[in-house]
Amino acid sequence: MSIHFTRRDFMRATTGGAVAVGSSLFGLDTLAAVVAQTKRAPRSATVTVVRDAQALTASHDVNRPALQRMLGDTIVRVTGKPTPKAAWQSMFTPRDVVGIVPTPHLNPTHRELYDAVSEALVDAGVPAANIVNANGGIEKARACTALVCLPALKAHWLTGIGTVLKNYILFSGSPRNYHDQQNVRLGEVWQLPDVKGKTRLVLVDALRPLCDKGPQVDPRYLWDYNGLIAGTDPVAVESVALRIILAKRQQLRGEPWPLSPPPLCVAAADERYGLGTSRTEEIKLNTAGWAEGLLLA
Amino acid sequence: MTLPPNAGPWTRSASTKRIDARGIFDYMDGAGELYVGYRFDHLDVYEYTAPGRDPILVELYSMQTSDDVFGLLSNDWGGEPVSLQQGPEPSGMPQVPPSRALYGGGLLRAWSDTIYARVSASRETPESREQVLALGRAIVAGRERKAPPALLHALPERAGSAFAIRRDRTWFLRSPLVLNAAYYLGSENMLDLSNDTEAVIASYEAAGSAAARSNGGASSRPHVLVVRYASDAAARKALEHFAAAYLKAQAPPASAQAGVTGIEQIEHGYVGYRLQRSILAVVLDAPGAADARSFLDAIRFDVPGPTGGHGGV
Repeated sequence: MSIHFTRRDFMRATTGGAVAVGSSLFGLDTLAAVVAQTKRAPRSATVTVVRDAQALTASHDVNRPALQRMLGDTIVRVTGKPTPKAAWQSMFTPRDVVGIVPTPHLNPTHRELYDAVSEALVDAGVPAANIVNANGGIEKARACTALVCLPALKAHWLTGIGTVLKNYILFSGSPRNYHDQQNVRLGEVWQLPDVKGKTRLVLVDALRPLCDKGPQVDPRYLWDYNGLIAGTDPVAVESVALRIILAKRQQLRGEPWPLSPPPLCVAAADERYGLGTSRTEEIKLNTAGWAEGLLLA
Repeated sequence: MTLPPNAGPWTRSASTKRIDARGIFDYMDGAGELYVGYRFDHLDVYEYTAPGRDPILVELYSMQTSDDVFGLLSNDWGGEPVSLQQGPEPSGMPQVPPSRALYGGGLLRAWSDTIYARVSASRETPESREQVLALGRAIVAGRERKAPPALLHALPERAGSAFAIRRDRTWFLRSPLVLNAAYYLGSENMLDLSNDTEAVIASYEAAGSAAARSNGGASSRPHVLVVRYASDAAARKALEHFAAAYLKAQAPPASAQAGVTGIEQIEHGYVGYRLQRSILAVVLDAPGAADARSFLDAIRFDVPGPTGGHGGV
């Protein structure tokens, strides 16, 4: 698989009829056109975005009761079940060994969210001893029957976006092999035998995302989005996450502010690895709660 | 450097962490390329703590030259300019903002000779802001204020009557990764950038108009990139590499005296290049061939070298 791209590849994608002229040079549709190899069958996915203006305090601390309510609402919307408990029980059984995979670095997953997920799983009947933090090497994934992908929303210096797909990078044992332009291959980590098919829920901590890529946090690029983004299709969830990041960057600069390296991993996970859909027109949004600043127009 | 033992109610921890070039990737969770790309030497990390308050972290990155530190600051000219030192500035340079220190959201970034300082309060308060700035003043006290990189003189302030430089989009860099952050050219290092080269890039917009900024479409504003190589031969080789990787035509043979100029239409606009001895200038996203030539003619190739010598003709 080619991993080398030039700016001209993106230009051709926006002028050659693959995407509409006038589309952003590094927008999602252009990314898809650049990495697409063959025409694929249509897919569909639903991504849930739940927000609460009270989820964070004025000093950006987590309001735990508000987060608890958001989490319950989110999982109900993802599953269509009537209650949070029923929703969790529809996804996980008491026999499961559930690995929760948070992000530990650069705008890490809030501990409060990790704890809330863990408590919800226990409430749903999964023994506490069967719930583990699975961030790390492949042996962590191997020991689990089910995974919850629990990253925080952020751009990233090495992969453009560093949220859902990059969250399993340590399972590869060689994270450097997926940096820079090689981020296009991140989808293959999700196809490792000990990983493939185990992710029952993708839940993005979008309480206070980071819209610039680091390599260190610049607090000017953190903002209170007060949201959770969830679904069962990792590519669709990542695609929605990317739309929010790009919209926020454009809002801050008043002009397009593309990510570098271009987050080709998102479109490639769809077009080359078949992990889900990155195409906006195939993703149904299910939004609830605080509407101001949703950034998903 | 000895930092003060206290900053208001915050007290400096007894232990200091020293990170060398081998440890920077671990410290940055794999993302050490930015600093390595600016000729990183070492990093000293200090922590200030106070009861009932979140800590203040001081990171002092020691780089090989002042130019490298300037380059780090130039990655983002946003934030509130703050003055940490009294006295006259070295002669100004119209291609870049005059700031040596920028503050925002609890983070102070400062250029002080060969030290790039990041001082950050994990929770910003009026009190933490005051102490972050006080620590910044202590860091730069008595240190020389060097001029910005001489290669910036190569960048025209204007090109013809149509385009003016965006001072807040002007970068100094050496690494292809940083170039791609400023202007994504491609995944390959097609200009042979390395720590032995120095480069500046700036964005230009229609003079007197910010209309182009709101353009969400595929077109981009013109950019001017100027690279100085370690030798004339290295510059020539880089042009050949760039032409092969990015352009349709091969670069024509260079004349040692007159250099070589080329202008080519690509998908969105025009690319122009001019090679004169060890300096290669590239104009990107020019809307017309005449614009590309106008930029090339406005670029200075006789700028002083980083140590006072002349790199161009």
